[in-house]
Amino acid sequence: MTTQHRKQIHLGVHFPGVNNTTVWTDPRSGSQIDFSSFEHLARKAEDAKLDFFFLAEGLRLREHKGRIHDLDVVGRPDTLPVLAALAAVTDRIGLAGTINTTFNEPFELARQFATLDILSEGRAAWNLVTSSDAFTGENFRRGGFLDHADRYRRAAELVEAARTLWDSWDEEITADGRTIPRGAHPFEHTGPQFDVRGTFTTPRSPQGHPVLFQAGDSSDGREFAAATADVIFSSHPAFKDGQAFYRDVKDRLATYGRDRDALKIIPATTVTIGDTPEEAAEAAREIRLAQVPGVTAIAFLEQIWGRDLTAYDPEGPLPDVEPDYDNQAITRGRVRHGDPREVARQWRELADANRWSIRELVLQLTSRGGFVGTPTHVADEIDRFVQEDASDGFILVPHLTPHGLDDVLDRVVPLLQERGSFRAEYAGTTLRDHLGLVRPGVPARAVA
Amino acid sequence: MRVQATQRDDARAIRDEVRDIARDAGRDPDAVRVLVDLVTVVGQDRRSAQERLDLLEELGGENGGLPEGALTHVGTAVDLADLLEDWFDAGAADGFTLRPASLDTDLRAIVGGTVPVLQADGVFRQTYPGTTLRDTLGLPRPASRYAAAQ
Repeated sequence: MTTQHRKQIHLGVHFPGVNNTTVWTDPRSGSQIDFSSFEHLARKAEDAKLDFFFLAEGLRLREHKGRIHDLDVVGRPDTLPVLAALAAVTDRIGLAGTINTTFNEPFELARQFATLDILSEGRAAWNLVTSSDAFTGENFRRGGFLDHADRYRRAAELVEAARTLWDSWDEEITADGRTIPRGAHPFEHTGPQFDVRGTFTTPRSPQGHPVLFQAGDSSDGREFAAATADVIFSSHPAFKDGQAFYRDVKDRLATYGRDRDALKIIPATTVTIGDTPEEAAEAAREIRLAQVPGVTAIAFLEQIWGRDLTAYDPEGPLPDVEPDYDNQAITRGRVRHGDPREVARQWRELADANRWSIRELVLQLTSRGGFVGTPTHVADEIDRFVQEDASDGFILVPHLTPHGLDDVLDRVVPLLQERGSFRAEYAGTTLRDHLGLVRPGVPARAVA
Repeated sequence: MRVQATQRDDARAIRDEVRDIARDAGRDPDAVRVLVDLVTVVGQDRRSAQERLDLLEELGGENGGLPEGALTHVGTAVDLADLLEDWFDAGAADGFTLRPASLDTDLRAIVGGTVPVLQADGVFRQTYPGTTLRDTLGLPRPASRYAAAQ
């Protein structure tokens, strides 16, 4: 089979942030703070010719029952300096960073990402996330100022303003395709969220605009992505569900005059491989058990129950007491699960029907699917998802920092390369090149 | 703290004042390092240094010239070492922020010609004393306010 006939897979690696994917109790687990951890994953992924390295962000330490939730990651360094440092120790791999759009100014974010794009010679990506969470907002001057309904309005206007800034410099494209920034023009952006004018201090960067990722899954989020983003970091790891999401989002692009290839859909997934299917399944089960020890299962249940459940046996049935629905602030800094009455009812029903213990219920609830099997099976599955439009690729999420993806990169990626579904060498130098995205030109400007 | 002064006595007056203010604020005056800005045009001899300065001023145009108001050394690398030591010994500076007029040329001359003299005279480190910038500047590491409770 030749490369031309196969849709090309896009692959990224996710440096673990918060949540319980990472097994911190494993003796092989390294630091989430030391630069060597970031460097290992980025360089290892670059050796395998992956599209990008992806960094999450957390703006407030989570709390549970009035204390720092230390079953999870507690503290990590800031996104942009980490990516800037990685730019110095890598050459080709894209560097994608999550930065919240709710608390920052367009001028500073546009400057920072243009700078990262310059330092990395065209490898910067910005994963736009939103927050209307007042608990997170407390860390910032304006607090929880933004209504939930307005979070994408602000994000959209922030991107519009940032693009105005990035486009305020002229550029010249040389005969050999290099771009040279030329003079700056005054910029002006006026809208409900931002009212800014001046001149932008950072020259036009190699990609023109850094690549934009978006991770929201609501209807508003999908619409925002269709209008604005280059990549959707989605959470639809199941095949049919993935195909439905893929169709839904790609169908929205035409409204905005965009090509179906202009937006890549790249969900996160875990991969567990073994020499035999049984070995892989056993390894996957062990990882899941380590990700959800009894104490984590109880803490998870307490988020909905709103009361202390430490007296209950995680290997036993669900608590006989009813949840305290008035105490839903027991966990702070975590995405809500929805109406607690409805959630509790569903959980009880599931546990009763399947005779699940507390821990088994939480294992099932927090399962994100993922690929489990021999390297050949996993490569087949990844390829099938992409060739049959359930995704354009995957962001691989490890269960260990920083070596958790070594085996996948060493044993699965070469199989995808052999069948012509994944690049054996980088064809271009920028992240836009890797993702097959068009480089935006500067807008036509009236000659002064 | 970075300061600009072209006269040694002016720099010493600034440094004394900064140390007094730090002391009045309850700080150890040695915890504030006063670094004097110093523009360098270093040559094999004084004449070649002067020639490069003339060339730079010719090329520099309106904004491209050398910074105004800053101490400027035009001369040899050894003369530069003497200047640094003179200001340091007089209590006019804890150190200097060097601003090479020509990055490559001046930096080479300073590393190859000035630093060895300072090291031989025992006023500049032979090796880094530690790993952090605080170690290098001889500044204490601030304690966590919760350190005692740990």
